[in-house]
Amino acid sequence: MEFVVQQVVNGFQLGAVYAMLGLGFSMVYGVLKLMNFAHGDVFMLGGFIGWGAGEYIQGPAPWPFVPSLILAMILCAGVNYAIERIAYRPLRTAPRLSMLITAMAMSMLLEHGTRAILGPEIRTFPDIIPRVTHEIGPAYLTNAAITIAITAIVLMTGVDYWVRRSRVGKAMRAVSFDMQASVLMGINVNIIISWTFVVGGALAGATGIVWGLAYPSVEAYMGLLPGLKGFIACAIGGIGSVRGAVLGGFLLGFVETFAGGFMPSSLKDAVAFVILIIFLMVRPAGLLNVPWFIERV
Amino acid sequence: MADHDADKTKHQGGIDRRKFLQIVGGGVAAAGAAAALKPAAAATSLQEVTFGLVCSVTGPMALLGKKLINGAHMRIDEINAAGGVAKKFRLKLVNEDDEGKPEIAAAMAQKMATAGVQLVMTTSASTLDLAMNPTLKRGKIVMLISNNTNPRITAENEFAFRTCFTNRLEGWGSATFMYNNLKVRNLGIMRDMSNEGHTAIANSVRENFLKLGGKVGADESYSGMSGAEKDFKPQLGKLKLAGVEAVMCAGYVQEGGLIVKQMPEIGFKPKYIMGNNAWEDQSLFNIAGKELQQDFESYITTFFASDDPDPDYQAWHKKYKARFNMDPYAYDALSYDTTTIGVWALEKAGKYDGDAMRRALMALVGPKATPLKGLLTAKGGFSYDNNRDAIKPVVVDIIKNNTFSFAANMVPPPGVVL
Repeated sequence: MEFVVQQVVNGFQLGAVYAMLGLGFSMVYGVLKLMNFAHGDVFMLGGFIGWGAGEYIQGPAPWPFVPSLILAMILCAGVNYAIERIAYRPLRTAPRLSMLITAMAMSMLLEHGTRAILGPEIRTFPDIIPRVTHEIGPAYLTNAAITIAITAIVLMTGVDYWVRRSRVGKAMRAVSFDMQASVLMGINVNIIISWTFVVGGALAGATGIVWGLAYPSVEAYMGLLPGLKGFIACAIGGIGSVRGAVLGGFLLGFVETFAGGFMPSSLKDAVAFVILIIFLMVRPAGLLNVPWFIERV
Repeated sequence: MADHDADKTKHQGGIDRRKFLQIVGGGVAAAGAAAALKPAAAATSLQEVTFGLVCSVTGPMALLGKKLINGAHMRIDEINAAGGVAKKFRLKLVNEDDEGKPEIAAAMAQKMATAGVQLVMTTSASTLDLAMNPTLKRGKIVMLISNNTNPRITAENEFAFRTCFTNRLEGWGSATFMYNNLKVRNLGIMRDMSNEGHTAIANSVRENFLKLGGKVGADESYSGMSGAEKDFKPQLGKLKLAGVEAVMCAGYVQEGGLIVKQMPEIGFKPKYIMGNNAWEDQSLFNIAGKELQQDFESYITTFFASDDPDPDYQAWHKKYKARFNMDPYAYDALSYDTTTIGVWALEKAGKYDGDAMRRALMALVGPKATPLKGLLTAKGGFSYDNNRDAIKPVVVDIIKNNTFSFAANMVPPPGVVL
């Protein structure tokens, strides 16, 4: 029993991180129909910003965490905006494949650039919140897990609300349904796409920080696999859908954790991905993309 | 055919005759001048030969690479300062960066072979040595291994000689120490299944621990390949459920540190942690944090205790620290010794030729060989077993106060099947 509860806690922590990554992928895909491979690397920059900030910002909790988070969100939003402005916008009318290749190039530029500037060594993420483990009932909960849960829920609810209620969010959904028609309706598509990248970048930055809390090491290639997992999360949930990406992220986190906890761990990834393939076979368009519940962004 | 060859020779001679005369003339003049003026300048007439060293200057194993370079550099400078090898050779260390990647290591082996290097000292990891094996073997280039433990390296390449033990022996030492010295009866294993060497250590630990009569309560895997896995709590939960008294981690520091850090996060507190030789790295203390030393009694298996009280070693330790401003670990001393072995082979062979040096080294192979004296890490004398792997005890270090200190010496009994 204790074992199962603990695995649920573990799965929630991993799932929250995947959900946040998947959300950023999903928003960009919804608007531009682009797999933004650079998303995982903006996430990596977030981790490095947290590492740098933690070296300089000292003080009692939650002081180092909050400014690090805000700093990472602002800087990563800026980077993501710049990526869109420089690399993707000039290709808006080019074939979709060109944009995909540009996204890969952008991803490699960020990875190798970071490695060239900051060096290849693996750095230890500082303790920007105190490392304490609480024993609650049958489970053990770390400060990091609690912080991740709160941050993830607050940010994801915020994004969901923003997409549904705000003017920009509504325009974003309109663009994702039909870009040409939204131009005719007087929506400035460029501004809306920039907003999507700004919000996506801020999310990636925040994810980099909470990832550092949970798994305290940062290096230039750390975005590669989590980025892939975020993509998988949004494919399972229904690509282009905000709530779908969140659902897919948690599902992926739980499936991975349970496959590791209840199956031979040498088969962990194999089992996890077989389960996910079965999900996709049953529901190819993703969990939330069903005819009676069409949703975009 | 013969005509053709003769033609070619004549042709080449024709082109280079002027250059040839210049070189010979210059050389004779220089030698004459040196002999006439001062005997010290005779050093210039020594043949300069290259000792190649392929290791990580960048990449995840850069720190280890630095130690290998320092050890080799120190020895080569000493030899050159003492007048070279056999009054015939002057040594030059050429260092190439493998970036911690097998494909780069293979390319660097090719580069060394093309440059005519006859002796290469290798690298930061067994997988990289294996990648270099075909090129070095084909080129008949002697390969001296400082610290890589995969038995396949020497098994595949008869030009490879190993200054340390293999991971089969390391696993034996680890299991025996835990069973006999720590009295562990229920053992948990965490293995990096993406690395052949770590898998082999874990297999050997398991095999030997079971043979001793212990129980392996849980044996879990993870993938340590370029940060593929960061969350080890699902596996650690199973180790906790099995109630193991000790956890043996076969993997790199990067994952090992995170594993140790995540144990208390799920309330898992085994008494002992056991690491392998890859853990002997200062970065362990940063990554694993204080938990490693406060919550557990932690040990590693290694090649050589870096706080060995032997006076010769202590003198060397002081010299090393004065030069590089850091404390040497086993790797530095091993690299130093590997260079000494290379120098010995060159001296015995009398010529800078891979095949000749290999034949010289074969004199150290086998139970009847006369051991080589004067190595730092093998006080009693050094020789190879029939697989060209060093015959050495497994050293166990305890981790305390951010250092590794000697805890035990596991001497393999004669006839132990490994």
